Amino acid sequence: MFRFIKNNRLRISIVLIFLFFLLYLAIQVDTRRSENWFTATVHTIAYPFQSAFHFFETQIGRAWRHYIWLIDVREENERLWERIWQLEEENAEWREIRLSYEKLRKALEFKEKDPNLKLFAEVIYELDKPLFKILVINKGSDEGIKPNFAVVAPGGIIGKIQSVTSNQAVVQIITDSRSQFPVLIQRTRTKAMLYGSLEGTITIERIPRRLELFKDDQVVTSGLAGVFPKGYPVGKVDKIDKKPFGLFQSVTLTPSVDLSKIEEVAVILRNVDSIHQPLFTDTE
Amino acid sequence: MTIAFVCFLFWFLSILLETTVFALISWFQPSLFFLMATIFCLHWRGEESYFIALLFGLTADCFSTLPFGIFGLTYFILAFFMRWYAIKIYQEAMITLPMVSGILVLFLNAMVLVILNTFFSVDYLSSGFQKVVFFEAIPTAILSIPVLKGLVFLEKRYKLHLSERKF
Repeated sequence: MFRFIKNNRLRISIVLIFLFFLLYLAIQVDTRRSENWFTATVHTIAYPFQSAFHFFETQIGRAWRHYIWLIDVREENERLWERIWQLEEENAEWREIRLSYEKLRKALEFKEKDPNLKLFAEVIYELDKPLFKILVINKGSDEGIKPNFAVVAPGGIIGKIQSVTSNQAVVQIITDSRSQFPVLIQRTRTKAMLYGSLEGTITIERIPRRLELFKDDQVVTSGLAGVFPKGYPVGKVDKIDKKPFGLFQSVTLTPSVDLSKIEEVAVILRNVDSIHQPLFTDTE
Repeated sequence: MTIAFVCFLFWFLSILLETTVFALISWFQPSLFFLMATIFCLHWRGEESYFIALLFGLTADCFSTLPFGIFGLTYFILAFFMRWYAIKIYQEAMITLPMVSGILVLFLNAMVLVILNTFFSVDYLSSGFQKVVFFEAIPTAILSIPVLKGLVFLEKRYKLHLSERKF
């Protein structure tokens, strides 16, 4: 018997294996797939290597997605930046149109409100040097502008025409150190002379000491020099310099118009209160 | 001992490759376990091929959702045919091996389907043929040459002479 088994061990083992698996499959016919120690062992052996592979695959995948793919992302990024710049330009253009509309609307209102004959002009450029500040506007003698014509904005006085060519004019603004013109302190009806300065401020000197002034007192043009029409806002009292002694006091004003942000101005061609041209202009 | 080591190495590599690298490529799904069993059967042609095939079959069962043992049994049965074919007809060549291994994969799938149909009344016969051919049989055929080269390399390195036996 043993000899038979020994001589035929291969055949017997084959038959046994065959039968075993047939039976094993037959057992599973009506049941779920049965898990066993062999499967568990194989999975246990494979697991560390699979997880290591998964780790490296994930890292490589991440590197791929985050670095190699960035080649395309960079191109896309550049394309999107171009698009953003284009849209920003368009947006700025539209914003500019809206602002222009607002400015024109204000200018129209100003024109309707103020009876003086005015010519609107755009500031082409401005020079802000330590010793002076001028504006250059795009209208000149061809449009009837002459030296010493008043230059105003809806908010108040800007300056006066200093020199003029056929197509452009130079505006001396009120803060210029060589600028001076008579004004009126609105509340007290006091007449005084307003000066520009090298510091870019406007001051009124020699106001009688007995006069009581307050901060934010409005100062307007007096209309006396014949350059600026009467009643245009010049500025408000900002600082009062009243020494303990002396006959006079002086005040520093804050201009009514923000002189650093002038884009459009109006040149007064004719003052309705005066049939004359500005007093000191070079008339033909 | 070296024979067992070589078998273990191929077994282990087949597990790793099957469950990691080839798991990532959906259109290249070679039946590596069966390919290893086929190579051992065709190249070594000994009676140990049955048990090696059984081992690979059971390993394939571990990574399958089919009833456990179905691949083991199929590999085991096919190992008889492969050994007979290897001894009687097969002449090892780099051209014939891919064709034989590819066709054997088709046999394997057909046999699994038959067993499934017989035991479990599962009707898979109508679908998936193209997928088996293109995604499994052809990739298995392609990989048969490098696997055989690897086995020959290890045989030389460890001075194994199993393939030189006369039957």
